[in-house]
Amino acid sequence: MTSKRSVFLRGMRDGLPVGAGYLAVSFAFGLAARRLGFTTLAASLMSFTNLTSAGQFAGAELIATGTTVIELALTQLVVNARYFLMSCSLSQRLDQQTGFLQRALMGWGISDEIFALSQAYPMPLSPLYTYGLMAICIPCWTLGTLLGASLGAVLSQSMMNALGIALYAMLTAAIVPHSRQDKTIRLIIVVSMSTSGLAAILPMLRDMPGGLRIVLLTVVITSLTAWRFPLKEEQP
Amino acid sequence: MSNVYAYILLMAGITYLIRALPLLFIRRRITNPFLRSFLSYVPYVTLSVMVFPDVLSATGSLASALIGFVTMMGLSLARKNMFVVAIASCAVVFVTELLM
Repeated sequence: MTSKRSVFLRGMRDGLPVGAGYLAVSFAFGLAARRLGFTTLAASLMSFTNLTSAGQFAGAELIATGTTVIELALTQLVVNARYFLMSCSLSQRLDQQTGFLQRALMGWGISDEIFALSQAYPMPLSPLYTYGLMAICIPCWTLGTLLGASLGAVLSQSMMNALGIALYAMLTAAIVPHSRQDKTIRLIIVVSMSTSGLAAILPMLRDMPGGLRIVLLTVVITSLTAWRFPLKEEQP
Repeated sequence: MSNVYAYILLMAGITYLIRALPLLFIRRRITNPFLRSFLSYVPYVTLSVMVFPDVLSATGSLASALIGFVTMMGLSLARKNMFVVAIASCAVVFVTELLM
């Protein structure tokens, strides 16, 4: 039985590289928000409460150029719909006894990267592990925004370009290693990336909002795989 | 920009509900084999779809992004940890853009 403290600390430690990536990406968000006319406080508050990248970039632009409540709400729903699937998936990794408040608190923290790390934690997922991740990642995301909005362009463009790839590298590192032992996962990753590449150039699919395309592709590809390659009974 | 804080809270509220509702209300262990398989495969599909092809426009040029992508895939397959993969990919992109 590992102590609660060590589970939380493990989350914080695993969260460090994500936090570093978040600093860079939210710095870019802070910069963009400032240019759109947001105050440093408003931009930082948005990061602290929203904890999304695409959703915030889209939302900030809408607010700055004038929007309606309905338009803003629908955009967030579409851009962030993938979190719904991630949350469904995580619900199966938690101990069933996990209480309402614990689940409510975890809900705040399901970003792509925190989800990626949480789902890789051995079953059952301890909320404390996710809290450890959140304790690093949320302050980093907020602080990066604050620095980007207040300091502006202290990083050179080439440094920003290099940092732009960090979050993709982390998502890759969270899933690809599992493909070494598991043929189904290898197939899933290859098929998903190729289909997604195709969808980005095919007419109709290409013009779909990105968030919606992610959800559509996820539902279709996951359904086909689950139907064709169901899990063996003993697997979690 | 008058109701900016109200708009920010609206965004936060909607995003929160999307993320929290399934966690709050799916409390049973799902036993249906299809659904169980579906939920266990979701991470791989959705994260793959998010990475590619968006990664190709994450940097200043397609060439540096491609080299960064190959680097992250190779190191991930070699089971390097997340930190190493991220730093190496950033470094490769930075150097590629310097050389171009």
